[in-house]
Amino acid sequence: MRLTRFLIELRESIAAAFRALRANILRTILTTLGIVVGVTAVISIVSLIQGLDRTVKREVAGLGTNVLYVSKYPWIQMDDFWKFRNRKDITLEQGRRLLELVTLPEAASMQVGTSSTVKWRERAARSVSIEGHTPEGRIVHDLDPEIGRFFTVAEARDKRNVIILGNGLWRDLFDERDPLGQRIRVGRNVFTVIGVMPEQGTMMGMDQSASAVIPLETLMKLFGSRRSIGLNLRAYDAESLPLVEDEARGLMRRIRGIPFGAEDDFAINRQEMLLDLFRSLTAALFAVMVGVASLSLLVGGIGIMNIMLVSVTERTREIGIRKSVGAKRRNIMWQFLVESVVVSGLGGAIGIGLGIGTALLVSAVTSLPATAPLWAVLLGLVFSTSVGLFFGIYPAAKAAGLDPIEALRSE
Amino acid sequence: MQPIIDLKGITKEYIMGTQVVRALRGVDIEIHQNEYVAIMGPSGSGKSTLMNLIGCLDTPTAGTYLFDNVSVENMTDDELAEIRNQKIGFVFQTFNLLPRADALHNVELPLIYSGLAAGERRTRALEALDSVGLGDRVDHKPNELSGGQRQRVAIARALVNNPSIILADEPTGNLDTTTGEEIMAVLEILFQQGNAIILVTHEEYIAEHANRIVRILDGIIGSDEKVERRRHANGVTAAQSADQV
Repeated sequence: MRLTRFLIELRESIAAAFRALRANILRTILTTLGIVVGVTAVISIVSLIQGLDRTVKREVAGLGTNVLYVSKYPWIQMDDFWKFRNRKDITLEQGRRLLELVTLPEAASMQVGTSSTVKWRERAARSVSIEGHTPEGRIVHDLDPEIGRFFTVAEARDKRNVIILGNGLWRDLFDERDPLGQRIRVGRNVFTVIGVMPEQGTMMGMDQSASAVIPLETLMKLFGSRRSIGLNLRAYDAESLPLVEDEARGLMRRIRGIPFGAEDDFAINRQEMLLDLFRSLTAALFAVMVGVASLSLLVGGIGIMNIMLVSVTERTREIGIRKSVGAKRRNIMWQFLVESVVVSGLGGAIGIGLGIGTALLVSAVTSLPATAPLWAVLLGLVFSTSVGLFFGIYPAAKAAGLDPIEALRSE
Repeated sequence: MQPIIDLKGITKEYIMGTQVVRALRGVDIEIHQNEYVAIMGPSGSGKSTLMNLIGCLDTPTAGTYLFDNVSVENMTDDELAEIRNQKIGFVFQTFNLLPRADALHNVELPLIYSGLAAGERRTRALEALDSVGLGDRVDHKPNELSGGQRQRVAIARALVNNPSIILADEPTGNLDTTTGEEIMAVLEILFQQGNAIILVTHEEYIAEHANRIVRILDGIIGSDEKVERRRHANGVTAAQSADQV
């Protein structure tokens, strides 16, 4: 009984709120701007972060969770670039020794890279990333071809010109025709295609599949041997990863003759480091978003309070009329609270629309799969209506407390 | 028979800056169910204050006020709102309709605050509008209605909740003579149907529609007399006058 009465009164409040808002459409829209900006910021930034998150996680996962990358350069360089630049290269000899000495990894391989133009008949692909691996690289990086096979130990030892194409490269050059046994040119050298890798994602905007794998020593022979070798160690599981790292660090220091107490002159990289970097970047982005959002919601809330005070003053007579026919304090209170919640909720809805629009635009224009998650949409709605509720309390209480005689007398 | 309105020793004081203004200085009135009372008095006499007190828009400084045998002088704002909603129908000089709502919604307003469901509200509001001859204007907004029609909407709103009294404050003040006469005819019908009516006016010939005239002067009752020869509002019925509008 009391609930039905409340609902009847609430319906009148909502109807009255919409009548009032419709009478001042432009004012209503302008009032909501602060809320619109705040909610748009929240939705679009959350969407961007989600998109980034998904991309980065997928890419980084491709690096392998349990793989350590020993190389001359660290992936994340906080210090002076020249310090790393002046380090001595990791030589093939050093790499071989490390791979001989390590006991803890499941598998260990060496890797070098270059880039070159790849041609088949009249087709050409420029700046293809050419990776040189040792045969163990297949195990370390899960390099199992989708078509054909990986190169053999013998082919690697004999420095044969055999090549496994990345999926994208295969499609570019062969239009998905059978490439096995075809002869292609990598730079000035002729290679025989023995396999095609499965499809992968993109890495930092670069198509990982626009690449090709050849034996490491073939690469050194044909494209120059003065390059620093990357050493990749795959641990059995996450628990043994630190042990593998400790062993590798100790052996590398010995191999490279680093005196006790001196700094490492090589880096041991892990997928985790990229994730950490990404996490700190998104945390900063998130903090900026919270700042922008709370500031604009505050400004928006004050705007709403201001316009609600104007609305109460304008409608003093209406309040008087309603009170004279029996409206109680709570009826008037609800009416104005509903009005301010409707205004702010409207701003929230517009903001959600703009935010989702931004996300759609971003994912259409860039390769970032930005989508607004449901929780962010709900959060935007909850935030905007709470702002309306909070900043509407004072004007609504003011309206509810008006003296009916005074109110009826006002113009 | 118990009076509907029973004021005893009512005083009302306002504080204006440092001065105490005594608007009412001891008023006793009884009004019964079958009465049509005009309250007269020059401006500043306390007439408006008395009208606000009777209408439960305000409470007295001292004295007792029994409305339908219920003491209202110490009621809270919300309790007074309940009394206004259930037992008093107001008709104002300036109509006081919600400008953005149509006639039907304006008439429904008291029923909304009574907590009546939409269907019943609509039925009763339509009945009330019909009874003042506006059955065909229910979806018109106030600015689409003439002054006389607006006042009839206000009257329909006043009687829609079956109040104990109808309190009309200068109901013809903003209308021309002919239209004013029509409104008086509508009130006459309501009186004939058994509603108690309190009419506040400063015009003698309007006051003569009532069967009793109370004159206020300087915050006290100057005279309280029966009307010898009531003026009947041209003998025009509400239905007939509706046809003329």
